[in-house]
Amino acid sequence: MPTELDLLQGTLDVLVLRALSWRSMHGYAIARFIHQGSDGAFTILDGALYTSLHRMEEQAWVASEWGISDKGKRAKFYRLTPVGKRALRAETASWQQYVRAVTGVLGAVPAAT
Amino acid sequence: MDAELRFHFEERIAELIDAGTPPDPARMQALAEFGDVAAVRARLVAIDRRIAVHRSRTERWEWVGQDLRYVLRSLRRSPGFVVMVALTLALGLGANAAIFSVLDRLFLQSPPGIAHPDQVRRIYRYYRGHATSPYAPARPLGDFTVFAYSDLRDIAAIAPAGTLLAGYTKARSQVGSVDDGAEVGSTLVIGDYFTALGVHPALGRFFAPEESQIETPIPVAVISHRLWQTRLGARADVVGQPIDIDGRRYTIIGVTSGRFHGADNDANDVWLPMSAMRWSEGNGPNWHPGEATGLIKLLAVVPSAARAHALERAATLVFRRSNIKADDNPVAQLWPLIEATGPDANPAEVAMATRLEGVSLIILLIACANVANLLLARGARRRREIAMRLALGVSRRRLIGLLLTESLVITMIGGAVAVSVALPTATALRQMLLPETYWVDPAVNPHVLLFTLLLALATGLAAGLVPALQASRPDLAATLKGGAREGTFQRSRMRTALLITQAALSVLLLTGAGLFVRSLHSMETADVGYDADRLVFASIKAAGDHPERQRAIWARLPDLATELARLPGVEGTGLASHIPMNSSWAMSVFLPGRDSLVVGVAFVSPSYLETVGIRVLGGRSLTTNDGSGVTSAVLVNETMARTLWPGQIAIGQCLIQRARTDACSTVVGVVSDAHEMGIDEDPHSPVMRFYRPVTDTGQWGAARTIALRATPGHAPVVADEVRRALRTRFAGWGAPSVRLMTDYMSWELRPRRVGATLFSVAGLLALLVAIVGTYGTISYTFGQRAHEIGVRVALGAQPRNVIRLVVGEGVRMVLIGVLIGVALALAAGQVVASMLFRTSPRDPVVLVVVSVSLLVVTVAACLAPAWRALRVDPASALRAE
Repeated sequence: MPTELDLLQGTLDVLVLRALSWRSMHGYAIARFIHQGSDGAFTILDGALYTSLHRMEEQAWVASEWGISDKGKRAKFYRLTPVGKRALRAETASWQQYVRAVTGVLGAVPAAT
Repeated sequence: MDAELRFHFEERIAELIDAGTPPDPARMQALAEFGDVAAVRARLVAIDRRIAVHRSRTERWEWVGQDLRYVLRSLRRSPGFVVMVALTLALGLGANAAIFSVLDRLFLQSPPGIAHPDQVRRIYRYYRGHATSPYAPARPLGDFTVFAYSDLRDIAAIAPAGTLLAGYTKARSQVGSVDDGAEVGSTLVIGDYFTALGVHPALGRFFAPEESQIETPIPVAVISHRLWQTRLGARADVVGQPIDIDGRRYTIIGVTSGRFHGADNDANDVWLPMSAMRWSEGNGPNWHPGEATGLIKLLAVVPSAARAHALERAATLVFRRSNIKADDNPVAQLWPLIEATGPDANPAEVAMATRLEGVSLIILLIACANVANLLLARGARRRREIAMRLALGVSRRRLIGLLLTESLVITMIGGAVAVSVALPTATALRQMLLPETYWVDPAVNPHVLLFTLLLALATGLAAGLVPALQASRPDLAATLKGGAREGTFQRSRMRTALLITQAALSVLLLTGAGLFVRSLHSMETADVGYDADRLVFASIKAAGDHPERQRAIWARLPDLATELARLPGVEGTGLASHIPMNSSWAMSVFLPGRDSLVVGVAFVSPSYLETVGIRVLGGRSLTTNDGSGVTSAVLVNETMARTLWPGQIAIGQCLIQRARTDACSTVVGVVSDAHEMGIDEDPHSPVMRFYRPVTDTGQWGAARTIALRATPGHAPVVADEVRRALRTRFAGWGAPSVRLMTDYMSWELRPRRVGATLFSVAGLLALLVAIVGTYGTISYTFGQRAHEIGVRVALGAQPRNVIRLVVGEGVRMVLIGVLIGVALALAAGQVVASMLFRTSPRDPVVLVVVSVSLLVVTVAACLAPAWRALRVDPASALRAE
């Protein structure tokens, strides 16, 4: 399986929300966006992506409606709801805090005792 | 969802193919990138289903919200309609809430302040051996709710372990000094009375075991919280203080907590040990607790159902042992504490309360019919709006929901008005219906609120469902084609049926009212044989119930009567052994050569008959020389003379009293019939009664009462005067009781007066609602037919033809209702028959008067619509075509 990094479920949610923060997209476009954005550093199973989308729809973070894709096909489009926007902000902040902390520990040198 | 996944795969595969991958590997790669398709699909289906459920639920609430907003908006536009409907419903619901609050107290609520009322049982005795009446198979015979102390003692001896047993008997007692005190309810108790009822003292303690025995009276008393608060100044040191009860000094040992006032519904303020009975019954060697205490009610608390059966068996054993006749076969049964639900219910109370509940339900039905009628009219007016909505694709279910929401909202408004009306109504009603009951709690309690809410919901659904169904099913095409003018006129069969129902139910209630009014009138004007409104009776009860003192007081009555006769406003005085309408005696007499028979007897002084207004029809009255023993001269009443000596002269006949061997008492006169037992002495078998002279003091038949005849209109003044004179005369000795004869008769008149009043109010309300209903329906019908009337007038119809048309329509409908109502009234008459006095439940006068007045009122209600129909301008009516 081509997974270089194991992604926690919550992390995937943040990525999807981030993808949708630009504009509404259908599932396939979201998959492409994440793939390209991560520079191939990690690949996500598409099934997990759809599970994440539907679960967030249940939580009312995203809303969906049927529309027409760029190539003129019927596709289900997702967009962020106000609740979803708030969730994105919160998740992003906590993710960055986490990264800072890990980076801090990794860059630290033990102090002399 | 499958479409979504299909789109995903199509896109991915297309992209891979575009990038140069052959189709099959492309498909493989797409699948691999997706993961376990089946598992993901299952997960997505589950999530989507949850989303769908949640969404439809939200939607439904949104609908309700929308409907409510819409309903409130549209109701605000027609305030007249809302007020009309809400008032009608408030009337129906208010009547029910008020009556229910009385029934609730009577049947559902235990007396307050009892810890676990559902665990307390009453012990009753049934005689199973006798055939009972087919109308009341479970009805026991004889004396079955009160017992002797010995029964309690014997049951206690063999009762299962853990059983609490108590006995009590109720009386009225004078609290405070004899001259200046209050009469309060008192209870004599024995056994585990307070423990069984789970009451705790607010102050002090309750009776100790050595105080609860029957042999030696100990002067200790427990008083109610109320008495402590109101008469004893709520003093904290009340325990240990003396209190005078019936002229004897007791020591207060405890105060009951809060709202407790005994095991019954009437007020009680004093509790004494059962042994206190010994003082009033005399202290001599004749004291047999088993017999003297023959009127106690039994209470029991048993820890389990099995023990309850054991207790029933034990009590049955005791009853069989003490029973004189073996074949009576008495059986003990445990019943709930609430008396109205058991065999000891007061039949008059229960009858009145249940009849009234019936009446209030009929009022609600009438109100319901009226509201349904108004809703139908409203639905008809909105036919076009509704047709439009349906045409626009609103589902029928949604529409019915909307219309039902509307009727429920209006009903709830009505219910709210009803509850606010019910509080004062119920408070007045329960005082009127059950004046002896002590009402601790406010009339409207959570029970009543819940009942009203449920009833309002049911009413809203009942009144709203048919109109909603009908309104939501219009003939779409026809209605919409009808253009600006309403759809073609249709006579609504439903509305006619509702109007007929209203009329029929109104007849039923009005007939009830008429019967009660007639019954009351015949009772008030009934000839009971006395000049009742001029009579005053006075008696004096010795302080402390001292037998010697009481005899001394009785001995003074003859002199006192002579003295009181000189008071201004007093025409004459007499002495008797009893108070008519309050107490009466009977005894066995023998006629030479015939069997013995039981007849009524009254002991009177020579001046008594003239004083009370009993006329001498033949022979002479009694004189002071007629003796006083069993051989004295006697007078017989008309009924007795006619029954015993038909076709003969009663005067000079021989009557043997007491024993067959005694000498004759000669009948010296025949006097007019006079009731002793009440206004309602059985009219079909008048009571035979004879009068003999009062005996000497200390014997049976001694004078105990002074009768005073006042000049017309002066009885109350004389009563006050006499009361004052006797108070001074017997200060510290005894408590005078001076009452008007009409007071003694009022207990019989009161429930009938209440019944007549309530039925009249109910009948008039029903009539009012029926008038409004008729007026509304006829107005509406002819509003619809304005065009037709215009054409008729244009074609030369005379005003009276138009009036006849409109009024005829109304009268025709109501007449059918009246006929049904009369039939119902005839069928239902038996329900109230027992409550009527010398009035047939099928009284033709009442039925005719009710029917005619309803029709007259209908004509009146139709006149306004007729007048409006007349003023239709034929030209404009035709132009509208």
